[in-house]
Parts: sequence; C-alpha cells; structure tokens
Amino acid sequence: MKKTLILILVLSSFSWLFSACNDNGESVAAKKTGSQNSSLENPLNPDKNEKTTEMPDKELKSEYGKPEADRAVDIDLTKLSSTMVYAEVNSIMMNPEKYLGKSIKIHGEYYARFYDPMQKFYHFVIIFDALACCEQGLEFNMAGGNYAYPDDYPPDATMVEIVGVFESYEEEGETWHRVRTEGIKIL
Amino acid sequence: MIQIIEKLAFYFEYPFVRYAMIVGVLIAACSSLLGVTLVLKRFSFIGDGLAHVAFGAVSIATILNISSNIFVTAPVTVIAAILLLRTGQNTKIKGDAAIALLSVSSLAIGYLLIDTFSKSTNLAGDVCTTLFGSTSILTLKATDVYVSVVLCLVVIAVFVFFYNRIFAVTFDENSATATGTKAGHYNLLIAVITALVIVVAMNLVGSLLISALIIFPALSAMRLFKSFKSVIVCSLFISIFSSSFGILISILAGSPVGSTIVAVQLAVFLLFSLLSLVLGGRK
Repeated sequence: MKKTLILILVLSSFSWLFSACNDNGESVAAKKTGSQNSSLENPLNPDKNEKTTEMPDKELKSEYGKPEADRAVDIDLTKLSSTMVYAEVNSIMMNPEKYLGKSIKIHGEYYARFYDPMQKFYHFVIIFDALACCEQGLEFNMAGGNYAYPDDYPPDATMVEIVGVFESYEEEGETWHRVRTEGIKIL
Repeated sequence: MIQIIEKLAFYFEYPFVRYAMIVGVLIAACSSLLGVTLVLKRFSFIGDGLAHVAFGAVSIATILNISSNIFVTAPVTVIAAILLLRTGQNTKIKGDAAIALLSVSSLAIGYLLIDTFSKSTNLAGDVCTTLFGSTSILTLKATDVYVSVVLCLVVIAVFVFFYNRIFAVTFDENSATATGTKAGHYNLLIAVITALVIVVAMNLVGSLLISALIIFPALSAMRLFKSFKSVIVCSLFISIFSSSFGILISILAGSPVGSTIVAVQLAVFLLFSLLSLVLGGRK
C-alpha cells in the first residue's frame, strides 16, 4: 500500500513537470529564435528590424550604382583566405586610423539596417569566420549619386563586391568609419 | 609549392600573423612542458576543467566590459588551480570528481551570466570564439600579446630553473618530501603554472580544445621515448611544430585555427604510435 502510494506520488510529480515544461518550451524557443537572429540586428537600432525584412521580391541586377572597373587597391581582401579576411577586418575595426585613405576591395554579404534617431538606412558588408559563428562587418556608403533604399540596393544576404576608400565621418558627436564606394557589384 | 610560399610570405607582411606565430610558438612551448608533468601525475583533464573555469571568468570580464579579460581570467583560474591541485589526498571530493564539479559549474554559470547580462549583439559568436578559438590568436590586442609573451617566458623560466625539483615531485612525491624537498610548495607552483598556461592557451585553441594542446605532445613523445628529459624535449618540438603548422594551414586554407592545430597534433600522435610499433621505444 505504502509503495503504491509512493509510486502514484512520483508519477503525479512527473506529469506536472511535463506540463510545466511545455508551457515554458514555446516561449524559450521564441526567445532563442529572436536571440539567434540578433547577431545580425542593427546594433544601433535592433527594434527596427521588421522594416528591412518586409521587402517585396525584386529583380536582382548585376550591379548597383556605378562600381569601379577592376583596379589595384591597397588592401585586397578578396585574395585572402576566410580566416585572414576575418582577422584583417578585425584589425581595421580595432585600428581604423592606420587604414584611413586606403583603398579596400571586399567580398561579403550585404545587409541594410534602419537607425531610427537618424531616420536613415546604414549599409554593411558582413564577413563570417571559418566556423561561421562570428562575423565582422564593414559599413559602406554609396557616393556619387542620389541612391535610395531599397530600389538602388540589393536584397539582404546578397553576396557583393565593394571597392572603395576607407574614411571617417562624424555623426551624433562620435567618429565612425566606413568605406566610400561608387557602386556595388553582385557576385 | 612556390605559390604557397609566396602566399605565406605575403601573409607574413600582416603584423597580426607575425604576432600570432610568436605567441602561438610560446604557448605551444609552455603547454608541452606542462603536459608531461600533468600526464605523469594523472591530471590530464585538469586543463579542460581549468579552461571551463577560465570561460566563466571571461564571461564575467565581458559583462563588466573589461577591455583585456586576462586580468580577470588569470587570478580566477589560478585560485581554481590551487584549489584543485594543492589540496592533495585529504579532500572529501577527490581528483576527477572535483575537476568535473568545478568545470561544469563554471561553464554553466558563465554562459548563464553572459546570456543574461551581456550587451553584445553577437552572443553566439562571442561564446563560440572563446570555446573553439577559431580566430582568437589572429585578433589579439597589443596588451594581450605583451601579457602572453611575459607569462610564457615566466613559465619557461620556472621549468628551466626548477627542472630537478619538478622532476622529483612528478615521479615520487613521498621520496622527494623525505629528502627535504618541499613537495607542497612545488605542487602549488605547478598549479599556478598550469593556470597561467591555460589562460594564455585559450587564445590559441579555445576552452574546449586546450586539453589537446597539453596532452597530445606528451603522449606522442612517450610513444618513442622513455626518459623524462627526452620526453620533454620531444614534446616541445612536437608542440611547436604542430602549432606553427596548424596556424599556417588555417590561414592558407581558411579553416578554424584551434581545430586545425588539434588535427595536426592528432596526426602526429598517430604517426608516432605507428613509429613506436615499427621501431619500439627508445631510452
């Protein structure tokens, strides 16, 4: 009798635990999905992601803006292995003053993010490391014309080539760094 | 072949590649020296345990926004090493159980803290790069390079100056004590050295793969050599070769640095095991 009561007690405890796990599981899964995506959220404005994910399908062009014809550059990241590219971009971000005014050529995935306080989009080329769990990004600015997002830019996650000059600019009292380019070539 | 050499020469123009090779070679040297002692004292997995403790400390440093986390990681790992290695035979929780307890607790709490409090936009990447060290050695800050070089030179100097005492304590602690050697002090020294090596080695191979860096060279050397000195010297060369070769392959092929180094060490271990079968052990 005593053993039967203990068995019923144990089984009742397990059934309660399973129902509690179900309720938490969905909310935990949703949170994890959100946090998995956060690696590509705009560090400036993560709440405005939905503006970039609701783009209608559009035809992909071979280039946007007026990308420069092939020319020699000071830093050609396209000739390096993925490990070296990641390390060099890290070096650029850690020591930007050493790279100011230098021409850079880079391949990576294009992403755009909207920053609410400035009411404009910012454009990035993202490079992943060998494990594909870490990424480095370089901001770029398409100069030499009046380009509007999304019509004059490719969709997110498009592999692109950017050739431009590394420059600094002031915004909101801070110094930022980006690549000034004439156009984007689609790979 | 010429193309590969030209490419390597080109890559070596980058300062972070030169720093990676210098620090990588020094880390390899330290870990090989330490590995022989730890393998013989049956503490092979201490590296794994302390690496997880170091991960926990890195998490705390990340949350507190400390620019160079080595100043938090080193003291915390040293304390953990002393607790694990110094306490000896009279503890209630012994050896592998103590390592496992500290190891999984630190890993779990470290990830919990970093997940809850970190402001990083790439949490998965920060954790992943600390655990696997895919490009950590190539993205060292200047402070990290200087501190790593100093720590490695200290470890090597300790091994050179205290070689005889470490040898005695490794093989027969009771006899060493009976002949007047303060075994307790040298165990403490080994514990501190272990912690320092773990902290700098995390930059090379990450937390999860540190045990390989410590164990593989020693085990490979023991396939062919039997004396303590010959095992140490062979282990040193194997470790330096594996780390250098691993770094070079990873920057050429675009593979993760930590995993590539361990893969090279595994290949060397298998080769030495085969040689051992063919040639037999030498003294």
